[in-house]
Amino acid sequence: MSPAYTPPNPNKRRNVMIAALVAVAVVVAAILIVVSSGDNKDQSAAPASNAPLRGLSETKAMLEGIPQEGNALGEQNAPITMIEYADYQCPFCRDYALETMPVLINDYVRSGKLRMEFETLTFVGPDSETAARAGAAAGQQNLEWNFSHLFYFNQGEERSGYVTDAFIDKLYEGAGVDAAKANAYRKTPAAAVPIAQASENAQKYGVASTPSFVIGPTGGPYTKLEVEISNADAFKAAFDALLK
Amino acid sequence: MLDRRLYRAALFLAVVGIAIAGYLTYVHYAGIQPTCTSGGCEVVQSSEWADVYGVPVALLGLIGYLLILGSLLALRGDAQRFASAALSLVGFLYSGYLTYQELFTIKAICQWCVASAAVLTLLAIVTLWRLLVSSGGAAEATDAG
Repeated sequence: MSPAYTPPNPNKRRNVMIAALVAVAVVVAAILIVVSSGDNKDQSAAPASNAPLRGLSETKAMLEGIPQEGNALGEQNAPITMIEYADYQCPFCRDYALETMPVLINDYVRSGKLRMEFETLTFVGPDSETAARAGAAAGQQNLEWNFSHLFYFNQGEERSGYVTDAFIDKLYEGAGVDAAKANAYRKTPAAAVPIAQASENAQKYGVASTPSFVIGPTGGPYTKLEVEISNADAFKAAFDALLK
Repeated sequence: MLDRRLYRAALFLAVVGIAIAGYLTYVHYAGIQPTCTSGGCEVVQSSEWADVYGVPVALLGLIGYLLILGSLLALRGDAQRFASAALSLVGFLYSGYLTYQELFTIKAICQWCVASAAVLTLLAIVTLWRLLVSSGGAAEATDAG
């Protein structure tokens, strides 16, 4: 008997292809996962406690000569005021503070046209409140803006527990804050008052994310500003409209 | 018959996915906040898993859904079944990973992200089912009947 020709079983071949498809999909998904979990470990790792503070000269240059009062930056009688709602741990707030805000301060706050206020929300986690209290304590010495800008320059990974006493002490030192006084103040109930107020005001303006901004003539009424945080020109257009 | 029904279900799911991912991509680039009742959207969208080397996952999702829709519309027969199932499976696995991070690492829920994960789960089920019940080109003939 000559062997009969048996055609390859199409179902068997198809099952092999399906198994191969599943395997390929698993590999591709695994690659995606590895890529996405490793992409920003370097820049967002908590700063080592002995690492030098970043942003000292930038912070000094941005704020030098501009009056501060508590959480406010700029002339008291500036015609318009912009209030920022921010969380110290929020990376978008850092992006705004480091990329867009210096331009606005230079062009509008320095010339006395704009006053900025910084209000802190604490939705990201417990470190946000620690940082906000520390900022309020710096504000008691009219150095909150120096503190917050240095904070953003040295921001670590969200919820990684990097906002330690040592981290705050280092920022205080860089910002020129009297650390002994500030450390005593930030643990008192008074340091939590601005946080509660910010949260209340945020609700009033419908602020649900950070950073958010409200602007208006100094003293109010303020309205929510809807702009892309990286777009300095959009901020400027809103200021100019109010200054007209 | 079943093949055709599953095909229609996959088409529908891909369009729903495009709507969700399109919305999230839009709010990402417009810098506005997604409408969110779970309260966790801003937390999730500002977390380190919200982008891959600067590309927001919302945009990755949108591209994925467009590829799935494209495979369903542009390809025919078994090539269509295999391509849509492979793409859906990758999307399902990756969105499963993201949902895991939401629940256990970020500990916040973004309902849009969960909705997208649910759509991808259904898409993976529908496209794989379709692949398994059809036996290649032969199914085409019965479809027509």
